[in-house]
Amino acid sequence: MTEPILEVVDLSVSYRMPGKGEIRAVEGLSLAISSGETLGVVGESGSGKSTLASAILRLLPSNGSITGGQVIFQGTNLLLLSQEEMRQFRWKAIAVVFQKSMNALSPVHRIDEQFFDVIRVHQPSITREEFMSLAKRLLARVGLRESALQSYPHELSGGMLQRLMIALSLIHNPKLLILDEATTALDVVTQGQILREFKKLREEFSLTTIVITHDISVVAELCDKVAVMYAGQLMELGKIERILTRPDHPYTQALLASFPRLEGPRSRIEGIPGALPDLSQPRLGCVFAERCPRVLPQCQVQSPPNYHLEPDHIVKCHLAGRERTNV
Amino acid sequence: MGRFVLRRLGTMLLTIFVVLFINFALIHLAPGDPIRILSGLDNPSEEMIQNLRERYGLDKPWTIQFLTYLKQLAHGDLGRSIINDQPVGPQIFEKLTATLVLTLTATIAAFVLGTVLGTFSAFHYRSKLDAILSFFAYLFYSMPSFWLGLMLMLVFASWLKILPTSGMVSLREQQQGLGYVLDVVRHLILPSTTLALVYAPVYYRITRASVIQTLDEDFVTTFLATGLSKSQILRKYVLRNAILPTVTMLGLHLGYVVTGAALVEIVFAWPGMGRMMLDAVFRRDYPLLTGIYLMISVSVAIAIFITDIIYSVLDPRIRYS
Amino acid sequence: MKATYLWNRFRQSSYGLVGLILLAVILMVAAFAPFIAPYKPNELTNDLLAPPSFKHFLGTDHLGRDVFSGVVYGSRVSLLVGVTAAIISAILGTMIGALAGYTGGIVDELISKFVDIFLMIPTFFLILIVVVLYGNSLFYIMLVIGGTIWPANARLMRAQALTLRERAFVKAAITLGESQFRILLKHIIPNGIYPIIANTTLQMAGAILTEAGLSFLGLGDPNTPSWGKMIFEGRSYIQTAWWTSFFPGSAIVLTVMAFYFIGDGLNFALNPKLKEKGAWE
Repeated sequence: MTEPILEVVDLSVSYRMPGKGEIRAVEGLSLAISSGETLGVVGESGSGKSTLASAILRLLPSNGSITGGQVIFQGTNLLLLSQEEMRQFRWKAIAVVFQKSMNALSPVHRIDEQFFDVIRVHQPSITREEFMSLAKRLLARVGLRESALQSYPHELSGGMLQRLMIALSLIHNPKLLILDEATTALDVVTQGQILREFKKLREEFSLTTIVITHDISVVAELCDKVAVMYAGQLMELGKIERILTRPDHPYTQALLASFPRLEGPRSRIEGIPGALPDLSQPRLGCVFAERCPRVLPQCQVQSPPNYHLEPDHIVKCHLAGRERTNV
Repeated sequence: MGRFVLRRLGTMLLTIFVVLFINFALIHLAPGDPIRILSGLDNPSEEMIQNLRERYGLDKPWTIQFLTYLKQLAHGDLGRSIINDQPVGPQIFEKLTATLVLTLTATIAAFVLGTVLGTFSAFHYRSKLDAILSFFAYLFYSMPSFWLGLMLMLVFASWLKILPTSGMVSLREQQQGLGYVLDVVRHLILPSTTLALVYAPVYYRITRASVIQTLDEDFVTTFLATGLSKSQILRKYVLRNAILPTVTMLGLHLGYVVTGAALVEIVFAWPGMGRMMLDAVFRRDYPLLTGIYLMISVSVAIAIFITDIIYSVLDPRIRYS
Repeated sequence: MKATYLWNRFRQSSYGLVGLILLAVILMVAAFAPFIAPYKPNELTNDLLAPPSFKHFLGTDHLGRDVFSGVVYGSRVSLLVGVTAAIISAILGTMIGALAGYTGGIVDELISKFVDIFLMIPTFFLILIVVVLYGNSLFYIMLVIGGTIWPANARLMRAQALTLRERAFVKAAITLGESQFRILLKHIIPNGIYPIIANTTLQMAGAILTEAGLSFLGLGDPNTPSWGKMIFEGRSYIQTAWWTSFFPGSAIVLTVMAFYFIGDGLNFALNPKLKEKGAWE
């Protein structure tokens, strides 16, 4: 594996909630992504996957804080930077496409104006003409007409807006792109279109992408590798084919079982009984223990370490430890 | 956009028409003989009765009367005041200037004060300063304007003697030019401060709530992620989005600029429409009253119309509704 | 049960609780006025324009009337007018708004137009004229204030009705053949009333201020003691006897603030989104 472009090492993030104390949203998370890769991050609501995106960009709300770990981007630990230094990385090195929102841009300003402001953050001396030609080309790449530039956000449909946001994210040609539930709020048809178009863009721009979603089908469509999160911790990380066909972690297995398949024998869709544990309470043992169908006695008292079953495959489960010794 | 303007215009004209009708209806539905009301006397002379009957067409069906009324209005005839038998129109305009000076100053002061403090509070949401400011906003908002005026007058005019008690100009010396202006300003301070203190909390609350809500909008997150500086996000994007409700309030307020100060004017003996209104009320000078009411209603309708237009310029989403 | 939920939320609002306590005190004062006030409100004593003392806690006015007693009895008028006018407004506004929102179509358009126009009419002056023409008894004052401030409630209720009529339980009722009147009364209004309740406390505050203003102009009911009237009468003597106007005014401020605080608490209780700070800070 080549030198990773982004390495998250043992990251922990907490939120202070009034009346509830400290909520551990992300705990001891480690993952890495190499240039050109597309890494998926899946999990249910509350798994901490979106917190991951905010933490990487250092955009946590004021009641959130990074309580440990490192985020190393091309050799620099982003967590040690001041907000001012961080600005150099924002959008130019790392860009985000958020979940579709009608208010993702200012509703009372024209789109070209907003784009112009964004590009001038890192290219302050760009002229209007240069900008316009760049913008038009970019829009064309995502399948939008240049008339979109003269419009206001509310005049565009959801799908067009998301394409616009993708175009905006590519405006500086970022090294790393994060898609944070980017297709979640779209209807299935639009979602399919955008995913297909994104694959083309990925090639054209040689993108390195992190795809955060709860939808395994999106991950299956786009990703090389996938990280499965639960309750703020990494459960399993591996190549997509391996995870989809031979998952090792009980949670991953249950997650996959809860998705209906188009082909193959018809089987009942299983949910996962139980609910997320209370993230404000410190925990002994594995975080999934109370819902795990294959739980062992030791799971209740000892949190499993990250077992590396193969160079590219990590499983945080005692069962995996029985197969191999950890590295 | 043009259709939008036309529709708003239509509503405005409709409102004015309704106001006219209410004006007219009130006098004819009130208990008592309209002639007695119009003449202000219990035993008007036969001549006066005839005079009024003719002028207002009181023996004709009320539909005709209403049309007569409208026709008179079209000629700018608002009737004659009972108290001094002068035409109503010119009297009103005379006092109008004084009222406008007071209320415009106060409204602008309130707007600036409330909006600035409200924005400040929003940025320091839940801090001690925010809590203190919010409390004072409640406090002043709860004060009757006339009482606050009295108290301020007591402290600054009677006890400290640094500001004049009442009136718009000093009665002792007649000033000219710059001296006159300064004199008016000195007299303006207490009444306009009173009004501004009572109005400002509204702007404060609206601005504060709006800014807090805007800071929570998704585009703020988007822009922060793009590396845009906080001050730029604030100045350009947050403010323009957050200012909309405040502008609406200001527009509405300006419409009431003609009426809102009556109580304070009376306390400070400001020679505006307040005193005139009160006298008209007590002397049952109905023509004068309806004239005033008409003018107020028209100015409100116009102000609302203009506010709607300005709002639609600021917020492109509205133009197509 | 939604009531307990709302109460629990309300309890978390410090403003709301303070307001409630304050209002409770004022209600007590109004209810037990004869027991609390040492003098009758119109009782003339020999102490004219006396400053506050043990004999007269808040001093006396130019006729020797005890200011404290006047303030105590005056609470009755203010509360009565404020509460009644706001309730009239609530009833009117709710009925009209619910009808407009639920029925939709041409009825809604007509009513909305009517409400819009009504909103544009400057109300204080209208109240003034009506009081002049029709008399200044408390009854008329309450009626007229209530009759001019209802549009705000109508708008609120209409918005609620529009949302509610799409809800499953309402559609079920329609399918079951319940009459429109019953649906409005049983389903729409009880479920949509909450913002109106919050707004009504604000309107009570406003009505009290309006009544005070009318009394100050001399248009209040001449027979009843009222805070506005006291301020009006104290005005001529303000330089020598500031207490005659100061204390009634303070009473107004405290009462109005109580209603605003309660309104704040109610707004908090009704709004499930607890405000949190974004990435801004």
